[in-house]
Amino acid sequence: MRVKSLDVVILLACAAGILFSAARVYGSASSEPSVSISGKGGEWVYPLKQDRKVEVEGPLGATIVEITDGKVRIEDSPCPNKTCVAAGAISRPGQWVACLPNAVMVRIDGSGGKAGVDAGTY
Amino acid sequence: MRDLGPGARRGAESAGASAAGDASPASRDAAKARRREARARRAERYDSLFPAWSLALSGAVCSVAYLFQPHMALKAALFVLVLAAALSSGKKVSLLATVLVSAGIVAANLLVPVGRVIWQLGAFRVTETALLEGLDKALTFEGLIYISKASIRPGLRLPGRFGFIVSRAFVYYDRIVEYKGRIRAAYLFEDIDALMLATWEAAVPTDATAGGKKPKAALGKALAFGAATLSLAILAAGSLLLR
Amino acid sequence: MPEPTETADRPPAPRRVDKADLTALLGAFCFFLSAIEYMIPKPLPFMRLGIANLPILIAVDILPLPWFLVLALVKVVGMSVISGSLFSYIALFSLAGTLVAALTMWLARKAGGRHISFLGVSVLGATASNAVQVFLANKVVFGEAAWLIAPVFLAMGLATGAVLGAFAERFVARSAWYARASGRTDA
Repeated sequence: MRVKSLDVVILLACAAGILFSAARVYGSASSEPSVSISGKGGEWVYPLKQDRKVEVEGPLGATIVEITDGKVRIEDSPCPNKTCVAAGAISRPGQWVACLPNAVMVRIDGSGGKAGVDAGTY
Repeated sequence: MRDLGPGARRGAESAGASAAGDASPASRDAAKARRREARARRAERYDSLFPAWSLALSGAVCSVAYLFQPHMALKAALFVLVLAAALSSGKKVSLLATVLVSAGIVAANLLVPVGRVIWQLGAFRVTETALLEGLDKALTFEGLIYISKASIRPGLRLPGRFGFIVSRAFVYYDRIVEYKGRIRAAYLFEDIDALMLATWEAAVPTDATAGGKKPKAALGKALAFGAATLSLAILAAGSLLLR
Repeated sequence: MPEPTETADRPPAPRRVDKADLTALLGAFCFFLSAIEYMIPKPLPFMRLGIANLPILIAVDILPLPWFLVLALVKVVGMSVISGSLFSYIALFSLAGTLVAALTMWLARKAGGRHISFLGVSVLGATASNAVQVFLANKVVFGEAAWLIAPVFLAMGLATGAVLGAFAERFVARSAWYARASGRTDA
């Protein structure tokens, strides 16, 4: 059979597209950054790229963790000094912020994104 | 309006039969044949009770109500009911396939952890929200299939010219399945060409006449209507419970 | 419209092909190939290979667009009714995959003209169809995990599409049936 010129173009384009998607999907699988929150009651995990607000119960009350725009911060906490709130937002794997009086720790896991030089998580 | 008729049912079953009889011991074939007959009897009873269009409309309403059911426990209960309906209608139900597909859907959803961690195996964490999402999707996926099986019957008449073409397609399908010629790998193109010519060239297709017993309209319609209403009521209940 | 019956001796007379009848015939082959495709074990049972789209591929030059689309609908609705899956996500995948394949094949043929054969048309149709199904799988059943199977599924589509396209190209060239269906008079 005669293979026409567009046939070749289409075949090559589709094959290239498939290889490209394979590289992207299998290269970055399970390295999407996720937010790990641990408190007295257990551990919670959320994808970093989805906005949400999470309430975590501790001995002093509820700590509110906010994920927005690929950044995490402790919005409010029932601790006296509120240093955790003042610590601001984290966005890279390996970084963490915690409210020690309320026993809440917020950490970013994963190997995707831009890992900080200081972080030593593997 | 044209009836899809016995051609559709026969064609589907012979296609299934030609694939099923393949290197199994005779006793297993006999058991399969018995099960198939039992299903055919159930299907006839079911189809003689319910008018096809009442069932189809009821199924449409139930599908929507099921799809939007927010309360998982109610959805699970509905799933059991729907499974029972599909079984009683004589359709082939493979619980193994349902379990496997559901497991696959749940597993796929667990791959991206979301929510409270309820179990940990090495680096893999099973999270509550992801699990519930997966279960919900699996329930929805399989439940809709069973609602369809119980409500879309082979005797369904499709209206208008489109229905006419579909029913004639089933007549042609019947012919393809009954084709006595051989398809040889060495002469693939010629043999397939012969098949297509033979299917097309035979005498004018006599459009299928309505087959099967006439349904007892009133009771069947009432039951179908009742099922639809019930599903809507459960939808309302579920929404209220979660308010 | 009734077809005149023929014996092997007489050369076929030229006739006008009843499009509705041709659509029904091709639809029947869609059902047949669907039944065959059903037998092939697939890890993802509800995501379709394109084998049942072969009659649609072959129809791209012999059915006008309205009938071409009717053929796609006949395939989807017919199979959904026969398997009793009309209200389920399976029918949704079938509808989306088949319609996208049909439209893509039509556009590819019309836009490509002399420069494209059934091979390219089929590959493009299969790839588009599978891409849409992956997208639906993401939205409706699998979530993000759908992307994981995307490359494998698309590759399968490319391979199937190429085989079917090559088959169609050779078949159409030598088929007496096709000659009659397209309205030519040669046997």
